[in-house]
Amino acid sequence: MTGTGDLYLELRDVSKVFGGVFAVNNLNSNFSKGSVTSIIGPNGAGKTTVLNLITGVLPFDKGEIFFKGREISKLGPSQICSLGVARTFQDLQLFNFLSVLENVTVGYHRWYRSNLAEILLHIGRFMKEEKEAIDQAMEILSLFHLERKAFELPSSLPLRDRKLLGMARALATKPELLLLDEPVGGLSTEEVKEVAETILKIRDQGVTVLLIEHRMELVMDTSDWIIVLNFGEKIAEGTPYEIQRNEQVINAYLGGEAEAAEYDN
Amino acid sequence: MTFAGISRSLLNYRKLIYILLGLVFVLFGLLDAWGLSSKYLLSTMIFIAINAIVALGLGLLGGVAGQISFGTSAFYAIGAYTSGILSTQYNLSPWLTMAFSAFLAGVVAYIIGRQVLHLHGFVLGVITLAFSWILWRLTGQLTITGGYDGISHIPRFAIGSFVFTDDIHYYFLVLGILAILQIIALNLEKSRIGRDFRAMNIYHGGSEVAAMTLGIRLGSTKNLLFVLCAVYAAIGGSLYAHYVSYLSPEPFNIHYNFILYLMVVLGGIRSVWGPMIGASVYWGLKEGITYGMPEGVATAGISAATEIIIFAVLFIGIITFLPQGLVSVPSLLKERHRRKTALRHERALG
Amino acid sequence: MLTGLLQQSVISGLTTGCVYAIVGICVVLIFKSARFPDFAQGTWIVLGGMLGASFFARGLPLWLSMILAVLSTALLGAACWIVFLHGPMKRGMSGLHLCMITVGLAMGIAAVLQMTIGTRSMSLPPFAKIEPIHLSKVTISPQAPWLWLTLLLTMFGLVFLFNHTYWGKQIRACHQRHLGAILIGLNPSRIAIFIYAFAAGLAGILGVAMAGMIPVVYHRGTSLILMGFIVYLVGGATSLPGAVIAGLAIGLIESLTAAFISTNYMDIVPLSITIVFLLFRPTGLFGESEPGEK
Repeated sequence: MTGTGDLYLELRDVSKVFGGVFAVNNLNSNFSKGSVTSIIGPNGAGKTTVLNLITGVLPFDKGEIFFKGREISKLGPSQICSLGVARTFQDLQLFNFLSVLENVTVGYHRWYRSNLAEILLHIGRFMKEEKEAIDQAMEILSLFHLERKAFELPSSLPLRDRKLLGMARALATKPELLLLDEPVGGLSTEEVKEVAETILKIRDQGVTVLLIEHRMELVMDTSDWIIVLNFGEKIAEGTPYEIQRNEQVINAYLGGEAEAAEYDN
Repeated sequence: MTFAGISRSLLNYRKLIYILLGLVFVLFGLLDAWGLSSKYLLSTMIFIAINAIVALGLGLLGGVAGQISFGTSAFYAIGAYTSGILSTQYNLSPWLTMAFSAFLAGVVAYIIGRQVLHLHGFVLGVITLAFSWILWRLTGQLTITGGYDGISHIPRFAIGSFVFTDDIHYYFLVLGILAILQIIALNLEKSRIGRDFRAMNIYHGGSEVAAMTLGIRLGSTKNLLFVLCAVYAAIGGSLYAHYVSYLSPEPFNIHYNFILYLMVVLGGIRSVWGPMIGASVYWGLKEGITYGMPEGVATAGISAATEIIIFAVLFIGIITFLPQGLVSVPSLLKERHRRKTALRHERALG
Repeated sequence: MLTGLLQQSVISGLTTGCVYAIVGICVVLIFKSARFPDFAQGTWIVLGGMLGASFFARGLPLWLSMILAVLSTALLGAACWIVFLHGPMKRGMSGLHLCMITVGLAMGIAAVLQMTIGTRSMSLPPFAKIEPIHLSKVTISPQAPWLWLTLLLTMFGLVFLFNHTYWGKQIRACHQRHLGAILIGLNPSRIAIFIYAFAAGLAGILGVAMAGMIPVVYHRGTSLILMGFIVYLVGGATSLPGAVIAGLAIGLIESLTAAFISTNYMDIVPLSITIVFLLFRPTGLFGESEPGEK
């Protein structure tokens, strides 16, 4: 058992098999509250699979995951969300026929208290909660500088805004733990810096962040702790400084990206 | 131009159009009361209103939520026959029979929904279709439903001593119920449930996975709409039973499901007003054409066949040429006009 | 006495099962090539039977009526595909919408039949003028063996077609690797038309064969295609042997229900059983993880 985590999120012997191949093989780690931890590794290392396992999107083959001491391995995605875990998707999975504002509002839905009768008749708490939701959503949008595009459809936004929208939507659930799946794929260096700042702002608001990424600039700029996967197994973990200088990590990346070896801190 | 953008700008005068539509229905009733229409026309309008109710339920489920279901005709049958049986054999007031059949349909839908709604696409469609088929055949088999002879002498609605025997009174009754149900449907669409559905609708740019990870419970949400669709269908069935006062198995065949889909798609699959528009256009067209057929030709079989052919033409036509339905016509025209003027500007600038 | 009834219903169940199996095969063919469910197959069956009966009623010899009926059905099927489905499919219309178009086609053509022929039923004489065969406790109607033969020929014919002919290999190539098929010079759209005509023709053959045993009515198509879909799903979606086994099984259940419970429930019971089965096993008997698209 390695890591300096305080067992906020803990993975124990987690394994997942796809067609005879171990996508994730006996993964053990734990993460501490309030940190930004990154999981890195070459493409196909199993990073997104880990995310899907944590959030209940995929079933386990072996192992358990604990969040705040409670086992969440058998729970479904909506239940895990109600425990305070939110995520983004590598391929965005935005609601393409809802406006930007509506996309974010959907994240806030889990905090509604009005019942069916109030909704069907538009009475009671309904109007108040609708207004609250819109206010909250606009607040989150302004954090990402998207408030002026609130009524547009996702398809008319540039890639960077769409990625931010995914994050905004996840944040609307007011999570304690935020999982980001390759949030800066396809963005320019400038845009990556902006996202890094936003992630740190999110952390400063008390949200624990787990970041899956293979662009090293983002990882180095934000992480307190890094876990490196290759072929579904953990090959190293440590602080950004340590990981940069880790032989195995450099070798693993040599086939794909030499960024790790070249990054200068 | 985005759909959202267009709908925002059209919203104000769209509301106007819908209010006008509602007024047209009311106006028709008044005209009839003043003796300015015919019995046949009034009867047609009543059928339009009843079908609009049933189609509305399907429109919410199939359109807004994108959930496949061919079980609506089954719930229509449950509504009609429950009302028929309870009012003829147990002498319950039609209000009670309608309430009870809505309740029964809701319960059945809830139970079935839990078993079935986690399936997708084709399997779901076939299972619901088979369910409708079974129910249709049962209406002809069970003694309680009167078998092929059906049930007769189903009474009209009454409030105190006032009985809705005149068709014109029945028309306003149905219209009133349609108005209430339409408002509920509109409220639903403009609420968090409506947004949840549009978010979940995989046929219209939604994502079930993302919805789940944001805390939306797919199963119970889908089931809610499934139950609502069943309740609407049962209310429609009940109104039908008390209007024609005689029930037999034929109208409850599985083809009714597809006709309902036509009404929804014809009006506009993503609009809550679509079903009402679609019901009016389809029913009006089919009655108009069969009414206009010369005497010798119009035997029962021929007019039934003609109705289906009208259905087929409209169905194929709408899906092929105007998949967003009639409600999309104003925005399409506006888009075409915008493009034409943009092109003209370009040419003028050389 | 009871065993006689059992044997009799097994025989007639297998015969009905042949019908359902063939419909299921048609459904599988369309699903495999076009990737959406085709509601019109049921109507092609009815059309084939009725055309055959009409030609025969006009004095054409039986064999000629049948061949003409099957060819006409196949041609009409191809025509409908080209007019109504080909364009939209190329433009990327979703499977659900394409299926809806086939619903419109099916109901429309059935309505035309209703208009022209009305509610009377049509039939053909059995293929061979033999008396019903009386075995020990069982009577086999003269047309039944022809239906069994049709199923067997269809099965072997398809196996032969797909595995040993050039056409068949083209079809499989298009199904598996659409883009690759285009690259090597095949024409998937033309092949799709051919497959649809083939399936419609097969349905026509079934219709003609059925007409020798059961009178054909204009609305029979709906129940047939519903059974076809059920067979397709129970068999395991895109599995041809699955469809055959499922078809025979359901035919058996139906006939046993008719014999031992009541003829009034002979479609209700098998349908209910298959619904329950599908709820527990949506992928069917031989299902893979990729169910049909709708």
